[in-house]
Amino acid sequence: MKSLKRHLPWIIFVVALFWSLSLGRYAMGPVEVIKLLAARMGLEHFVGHQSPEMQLVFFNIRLPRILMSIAVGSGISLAGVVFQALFRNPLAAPDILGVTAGGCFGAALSIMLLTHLALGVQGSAFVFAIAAVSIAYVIANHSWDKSSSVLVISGVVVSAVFQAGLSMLMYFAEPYDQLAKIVFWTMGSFHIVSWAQVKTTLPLVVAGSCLLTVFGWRLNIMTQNEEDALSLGVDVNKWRLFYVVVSTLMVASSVAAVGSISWVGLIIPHIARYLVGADHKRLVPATAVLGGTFLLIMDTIARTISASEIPISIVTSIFGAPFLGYLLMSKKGGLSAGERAS
Amino acid sequence: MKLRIFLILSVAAGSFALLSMFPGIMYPETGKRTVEVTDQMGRHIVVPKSVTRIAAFHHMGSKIVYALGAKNMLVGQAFFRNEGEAIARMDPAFAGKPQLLQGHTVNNEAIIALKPDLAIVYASFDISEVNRLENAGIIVVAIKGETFRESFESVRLVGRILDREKEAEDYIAASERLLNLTKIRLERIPAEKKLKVIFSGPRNMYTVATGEMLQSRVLEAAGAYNVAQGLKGFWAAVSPEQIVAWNPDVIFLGSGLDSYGVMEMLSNAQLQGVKAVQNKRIYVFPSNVGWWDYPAPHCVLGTVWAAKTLYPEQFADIDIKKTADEFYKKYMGYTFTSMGGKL
Repeated sequence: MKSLKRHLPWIIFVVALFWSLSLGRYAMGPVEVIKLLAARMGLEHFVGHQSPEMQLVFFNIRLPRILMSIAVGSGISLAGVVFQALFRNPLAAPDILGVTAGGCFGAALSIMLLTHLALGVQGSAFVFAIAAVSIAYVIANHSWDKSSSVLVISGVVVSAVFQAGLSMLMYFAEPYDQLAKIVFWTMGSFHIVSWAQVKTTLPLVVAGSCLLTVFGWRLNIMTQNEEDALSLGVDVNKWRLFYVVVSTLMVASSVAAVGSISWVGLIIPHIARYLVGADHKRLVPATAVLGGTFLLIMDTIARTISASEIPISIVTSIFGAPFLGYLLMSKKGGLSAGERAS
Repeated sequence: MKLRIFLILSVAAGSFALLSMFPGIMYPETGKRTVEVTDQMGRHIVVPKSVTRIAAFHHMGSKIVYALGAKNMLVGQAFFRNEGEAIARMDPAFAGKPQLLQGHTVNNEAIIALKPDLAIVYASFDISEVNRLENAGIIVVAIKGETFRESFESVRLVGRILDREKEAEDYIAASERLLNLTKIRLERIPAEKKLKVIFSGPRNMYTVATGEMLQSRVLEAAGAYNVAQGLKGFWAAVSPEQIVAWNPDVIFLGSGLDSYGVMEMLSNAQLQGVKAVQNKRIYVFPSNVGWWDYPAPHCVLGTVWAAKTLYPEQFADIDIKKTADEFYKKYMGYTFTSMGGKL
């Protein structure tokens, strides 16, 4: 029973992946999907030739989007688990250091000024997301208090400034064109995803996820009191910088590609903790798998339920928020689990 | 202490008394000769016949005022971007007028300083802003043009208020003539030969005009079937997969766009299965000096253009530029070509 619970994330992931691959506005069932994949793997002789239109929809539209939703879901959930451990705060989310506010500001700025550049919006969002977190880090570093809570406060400060900047840009935006684009971008969506975005986002997210999985065990020490960690010979500040840099790169590349996505980074670590416990050795990979699965399912709903797309943050909030409520009432899980890492 | 309270109270009472001596500041005096109308928000309003200064907050209002030959009454500019710039090049008096809107926000003090008698707003205008303008003594009339019929009703409404009913009927008749000209030619096309189209919006190429938008009416009148007709709302986002599944014969791009164009769409790997892309039938909706797919009777020009673009052989005898030149000359004061207009 216990091993089933541990393997549950993987089982759900495989089922969700196959389900998602065979769903979409373009009618293409599981049989066609298997044939398409088999044909691509050189088994065309056995499964027959598939129509070029179907190949195009599957390989150029559906597949990059699915890969992207898995990567982004894993990336921001991992950042969530890292931040909850670093700040010993169950409500810490990946955007706590201003990465989302910075990214949204960068995107809006580019929508207003650099619309002709290919990947201009994505590039600008990425740069400003990194800049926001760097500023927060510099402010915290200049404080006499070296505790992690100062970093959180400077994150709040930076978020507020970039949020104000975003509001100002929206005030000056041309309402019939630019403003609509900015609003849509801040709500996040996967419907614009193509291989170009996958190529720029996936390497960072995969590399970051591997690093965090390999060094996940150290987060157990980071959740303890800073004096205790120091007494174990761990340089808390150095490791904190390492985790913040890796998480920020992952979240910034995600936000830059698909806009801001709410709830996922906050809630997935809690669900994972409920399933595999608070030991980061197991918690980190479980969070990555669950985050990818959750966003994959949410995006499949967003793109199939009606002919018009539903912004992804609406779907993640509708399903994510009640689930967090359920966890709050549940005796087994529990938000304080983040502080009980062994 | 008591003395101070007494002083504060007497200053307050004094200012209140002073304000009440000038009720005209808060309440407008209506003239005796008035016209009573119901505007397109369904509000009953009484307008004096002596209107001479008009603040239009939407280009449709301005266009109607221009068409009725009353452009000198406008106290501010209300034409968007390229159209405003084109008119400003032709008319220094227009160029000198202030902009009334910043985004969607109205600067009430600036408006009141211009002393308009009448404000023409679009029906989606914030009702609390309408109330604020009315409290400042400005009469507000709301117009709407999401269908041709509504556009023509707006023209009649403004015509009645400005006592220019003959000019209004003339403008409506000219617009209806263009619609009929299209309709007669399209009757020869059998229903199964009507082309399937989508109209891509300003946010990105995957946002489409829904059945609730004017673009759908324009396309319908141009003999096309908008495959996104069943969708609701304003510029609905759809997945590229949905566009491939719809497989439109022709794609129209909104004319207010600057972020993508025909070339980006033709080279987009995700859309290579779409007939419109394969046959290179993607067109940018005119025009560069004012949109023809936007609420205002001018969208009848968009209908004629779209019909000719879709079925060129049926419209071989129609010269769109000449038609536009005549329409613009009569109802804007300048020909389309002289404004720098291109198709």
